[in-house]
Amino acid sequence: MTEKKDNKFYWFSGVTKQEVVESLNDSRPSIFRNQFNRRALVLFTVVCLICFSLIFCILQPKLKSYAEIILLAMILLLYFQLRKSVRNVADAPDELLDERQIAIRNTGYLHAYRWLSVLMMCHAIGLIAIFELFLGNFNLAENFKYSQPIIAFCMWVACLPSMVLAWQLPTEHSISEDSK
Amino acid sequence: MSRNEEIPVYNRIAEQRELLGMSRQQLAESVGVHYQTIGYLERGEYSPSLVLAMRISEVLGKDIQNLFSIQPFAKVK
Repeated sequence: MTEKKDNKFYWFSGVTKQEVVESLNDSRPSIFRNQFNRRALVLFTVVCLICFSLIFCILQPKLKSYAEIILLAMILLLYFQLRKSVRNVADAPDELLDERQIAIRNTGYLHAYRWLSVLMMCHAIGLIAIFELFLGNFNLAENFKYSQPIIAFCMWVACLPSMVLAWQLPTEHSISEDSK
Repeated sequence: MSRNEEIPVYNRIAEQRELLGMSRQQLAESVGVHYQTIGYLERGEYSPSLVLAMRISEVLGKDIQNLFSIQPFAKVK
């Protein structure tokens, strides 16, 4: 009962207390403690998200379905890996973080919001362009399925704070050095 | 990730901590922050809030002005 109460789930943040505490105190070596590797992870996620948005270009239905499933699974895996790579700081509530972590998380959200505005504009321009190019000419816009760009946009929203932090945070000093 | 990138806050946390034979982990637990935050503070990569600075001063048994300064501390031989 106590254990259950201790492992509080933060609905708004989508994390459990235990998950955040374990992640913050994780002293095991990880390739994602290094900024270069974290940045590579961010770039790979960006590529996957862009590819997912462009799936509608695939005309073959079977290939389209496979690509959709594989990319979505990859994006979800990358999302959880991104969260882990920044020790869940991007999603953790204030009460589990110290003032420095709160400051970097908040700065991360500011940048994420700015990037989100850019992405929103790109999606809007992209959709308008599709309508302008195809509507009335080839009637392709009528058959255009919005699900992939919408799902991709939702994943951008979910991933961006962690992506910004993963990109910005410097390489972590070794655990032994920081805790000695 | 400093609170103020332009005005660094110099400190003698490492010096005083080592004098007391305390580890970063122990100091972090005493003041209620993550151990990495102490590392950031000691390297001058993060400037603490007034509350945190006061807590650290209290734990290390030093006056706040002897532990933190916006002027570099004179090197003691």
